[in-house]
Amino acid sequence: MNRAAARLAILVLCAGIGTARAEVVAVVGAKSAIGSLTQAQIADIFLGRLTKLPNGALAVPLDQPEGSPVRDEFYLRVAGKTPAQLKAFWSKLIFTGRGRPPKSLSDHTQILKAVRSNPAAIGYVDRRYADATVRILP
Amino acid sequence: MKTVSKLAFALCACASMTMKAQDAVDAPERWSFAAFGTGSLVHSDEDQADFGHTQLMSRGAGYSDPWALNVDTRLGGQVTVNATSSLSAVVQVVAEHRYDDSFRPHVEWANLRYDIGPDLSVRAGRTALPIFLFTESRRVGFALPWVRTPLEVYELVPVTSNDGVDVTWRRRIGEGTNTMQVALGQSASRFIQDGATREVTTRDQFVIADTYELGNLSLRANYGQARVTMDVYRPLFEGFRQFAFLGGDAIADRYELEGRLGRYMGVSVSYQPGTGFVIGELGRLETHAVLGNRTGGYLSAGRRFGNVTPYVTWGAVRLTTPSSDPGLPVPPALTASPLPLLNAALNVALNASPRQSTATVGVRWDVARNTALKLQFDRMDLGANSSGTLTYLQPGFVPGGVVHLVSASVDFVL
Repeated sequence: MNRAAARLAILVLCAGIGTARAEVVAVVGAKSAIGSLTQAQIADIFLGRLTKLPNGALAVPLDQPEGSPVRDEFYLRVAGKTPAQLKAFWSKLIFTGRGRPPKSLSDHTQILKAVRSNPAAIGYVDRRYADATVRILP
Repeated sequence: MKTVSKLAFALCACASMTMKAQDAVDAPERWSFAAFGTGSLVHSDEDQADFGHTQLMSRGAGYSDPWALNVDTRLGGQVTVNATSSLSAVVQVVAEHRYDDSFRPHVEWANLRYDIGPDLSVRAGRTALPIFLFTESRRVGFALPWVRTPLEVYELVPVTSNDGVDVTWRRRIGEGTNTMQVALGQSASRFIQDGATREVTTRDQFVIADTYELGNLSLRANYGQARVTMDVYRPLFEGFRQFAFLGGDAIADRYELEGRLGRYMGVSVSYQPGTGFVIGELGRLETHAVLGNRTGGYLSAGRRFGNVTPYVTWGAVRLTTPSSDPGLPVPPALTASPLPLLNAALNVALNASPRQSTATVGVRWDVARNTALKLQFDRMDLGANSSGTLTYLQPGFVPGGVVHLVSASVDFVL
């Protein structure tokens, strides 16, 4: 095999990895008061409908930045909403004074830092970043 | 002096520490700004009357302008200030076509909100009246699946705001969330009729709305009542009272709107999985006065294909009280008096209650995360002898016809 072909093969392979869908998981701190949650409960927490869990613990959702693939993937999977549908959903609440979207942090490091230190925080990250200091939901 | 500066330094340090504490993950931003807007072009093939997004609009598409830019076009800005984590203030200013033919901005909302807990809040000031499914967001085109909310339901009650207080209580029932809202207050809205500015005012306004959300399904029921006054009818019924000896008082008592108790009941269902939507709303207005009793409803469904969501809607509004009244008998000696004119004016007023149905097809295209384009066709079928929800009727207008509308809009949020 000549070098050009090998280089091309590597490039194609890398592109394939780059566009592969990241597996997104919801995470809480390892010592979080948040127990196990269903997918519907996770959706409700991030859509601002559920703030207090059945066990009495508070849940504070944290978003990844708007426009990040991990955020789009998370809402599509958990709530079935496209980025535009999510924007329309929050517009309805923001412009009626009924609610505001979760606070968004700059990246997965900030999300992990927040869920480790705040037992009420719940975030989502690419599965490969979910280490032993956090617990994957549900 | 040194002590004072030390004290000031300490205070500043304390303040900045508090600020830091409030920067915790669950603390809201100190203040935030958001904006929304719609630009629309609407064509109506009825050249003897106007179509507006509400009947309170003085001009619209049709007679005034066959291709009108003012029907749904608006710009809104909202500032929210979070004084503490539980006390906030919001002001929303909207510029849109007004009753006086201007685009002068007006304060749509201005209220203080206090969160007693995560699920209980109280607001005082000006809020939107929670009377329909989309009342509170009907101006935010981006939040709507259509170009505008169906007039068959949204024109049942001309009142959209509440100056007073409201309480919202949210709780978990089963796997869903129940939100109950109670509003108390009053309102005033203006419109133009025959060149004069008129007012619809309400007092003792009370609305209770309950919404149950389970996943993508949302069920809503509400009841509202208010004492309604419309000054536009005052001369008519004062006129009838002049003819008390013929029974004019009975006519005035029956139809006048001077603090008359009006009631509204509504139910709605909305199912919005990411792949599309089904929304239905049914409402009933009872005034037992000149506005009559009306029932309106619509059903709408859409299916999403990527960024494009085509939809169809069918809506109808009916009047369940008579649209005419024989009025007072005119004795031969009074044929030249105002009485025949009063009888005629009463019938014009009763007949103004809209009867119509509308079939709609349209498409929403989400071109960007915060921008949507919409194209919508409406076929309005006016009821027998009715002008439907059309306004600014010209002498050449023929009631009971069919009107076609074409609307193109761009909606955005910032």
